[in-house]
Amino acid sequence: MSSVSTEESDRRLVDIMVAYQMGEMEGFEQLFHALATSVRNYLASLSRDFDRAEDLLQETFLQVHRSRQTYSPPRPVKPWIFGIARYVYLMDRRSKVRKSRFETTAKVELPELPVDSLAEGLPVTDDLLRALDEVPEDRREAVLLHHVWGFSFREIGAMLGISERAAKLRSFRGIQALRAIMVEGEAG
Amino acid sequence: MTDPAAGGTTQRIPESLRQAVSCDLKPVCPLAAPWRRMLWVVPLTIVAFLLPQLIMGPRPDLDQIGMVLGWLPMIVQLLLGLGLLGMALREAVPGIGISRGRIGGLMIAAIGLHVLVNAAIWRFYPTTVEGVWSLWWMCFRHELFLGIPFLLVVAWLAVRALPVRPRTIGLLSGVGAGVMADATWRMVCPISEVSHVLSSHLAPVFVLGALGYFLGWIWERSRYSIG
Repeated sequence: MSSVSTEESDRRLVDIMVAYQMGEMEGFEQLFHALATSVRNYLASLSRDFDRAEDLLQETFLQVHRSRQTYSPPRPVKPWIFGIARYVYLMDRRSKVRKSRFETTAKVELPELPVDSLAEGLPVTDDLLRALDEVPEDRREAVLLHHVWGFSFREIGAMLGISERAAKLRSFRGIQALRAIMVEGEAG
Repeated sequence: MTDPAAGGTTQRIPESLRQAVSCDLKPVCPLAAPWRRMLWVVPLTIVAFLLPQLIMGPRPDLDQIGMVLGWLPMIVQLLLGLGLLGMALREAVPGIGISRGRIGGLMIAAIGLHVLVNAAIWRFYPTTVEGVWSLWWMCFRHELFLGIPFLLVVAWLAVRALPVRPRTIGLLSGVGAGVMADATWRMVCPISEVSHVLSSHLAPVFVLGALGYFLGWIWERSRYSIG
C-alpha cells in the first residue's frame, strides 16, 4: 500500500464522512462499503469469533451512526472508526465477563485473517495463522493494526491509549514472538 | 472504494442497520475540538477564583509569600488542572486517546507541584492556628464544593462525545477538578501546617479523583449491554 494511495484514500474517506454528517445516506453506504470488511476482520482478530465479529460490526456501525458528531474533519476517519470498533468490542467483552460467571464457553480458533501484507518476508500459511494465535493479545493487535491495516504507530498509540513508542515496541515484539514461534514450529 | 487491506471483498449493509440509520439521518454538527470545548471551563475557573476571594478574602500572608509562592504556583497549578481536564475531553473522542504515561506524568506533576509549594511555604513561612483540626472540615468541604462543578461540567462534555475509557476520563476529570479547586482555595487559606495541607487540601484532590473514577465506572456499566 503506497503512501500516496493511502493519503488519497484517507482524503476520500474524510469527504464521505462529511457528506454523511450532513445527512446523506449515500455517505453512510460508502463508508460502510469502504471499511466494513477491515473493521470486521479487526473485530474478528480481537474476539476470535467470526460470527460474533459480524454482530459487533453491526453494533460498531450503529455506534458510528449514534456518535457521528464526534468525528471532527479533517482528522483521519479510520482511526476514529477503529477506535469505536475497539470500544464496542471492549463493551462486549465486559458484558461477557459478567455473563461468564454463570456460563462456560468453549475456546474458539483464531479466524482466518487477511495477512497479505503482514510481516514482509514471512510466508502466509496456516502456520503463520497458528503462530499469530499464540502471540500475546496486545502484541498481536499492534502487529495487525500496523502490518495489515496500515495504521501508523502514532495512530495505533492514540487508538490504544499508549505512546507511539510503546505501540512500536509492541509491534516489534509481536513480530519477534511470531518469528520465534514459527522457527520453533519448524524445528519441532 | 475498497480498503487495500480488506482482502478485496465487499460487505453488504444489513437491512436492520440500514433502516436504523435511514430513520435518523438528520445532519449533525461535528463536535468542537477538545480545546474549544474547554472554553466552557473558563467561566467556572473565574467564578472558582473570585468566589472565595470575595467571601473569605485573600490569605493574610499573601504579601509575605509573594509572587513566587503565591500567584505563580496558583497560575501553574490552574494550567496543569486545565491540562488534565483537556486531556479528559480529548480522551473522550475515539481514535485520539492519550497514553497512560502522559496522563500519569501530568497527574504527578500537578500533585507534585501542590506538595512542593506547600512544603516551601511551611519551610519559609510556617503558619498554624490553635485547634487546626477543627478547620479540617471547613477547608475540605470548600475544596470539594469548588471542585464538583468542574467535575460535573467536564463529565457532561465527555459524555456528549464517546468515552472509550470512561474510568480514566472520570479519574482525569476528578483529579483535574481537585487541582483547580486547590489552586484557588490556597489563595484563601493561610494554614501551611503539613497535617492540615495533607488532610484538607490534598485529600479533596484524591476524593474528587475517586469520585470521578466511580462516576466513570457507573457510566461504563450502565451505558451498553450488548447481546
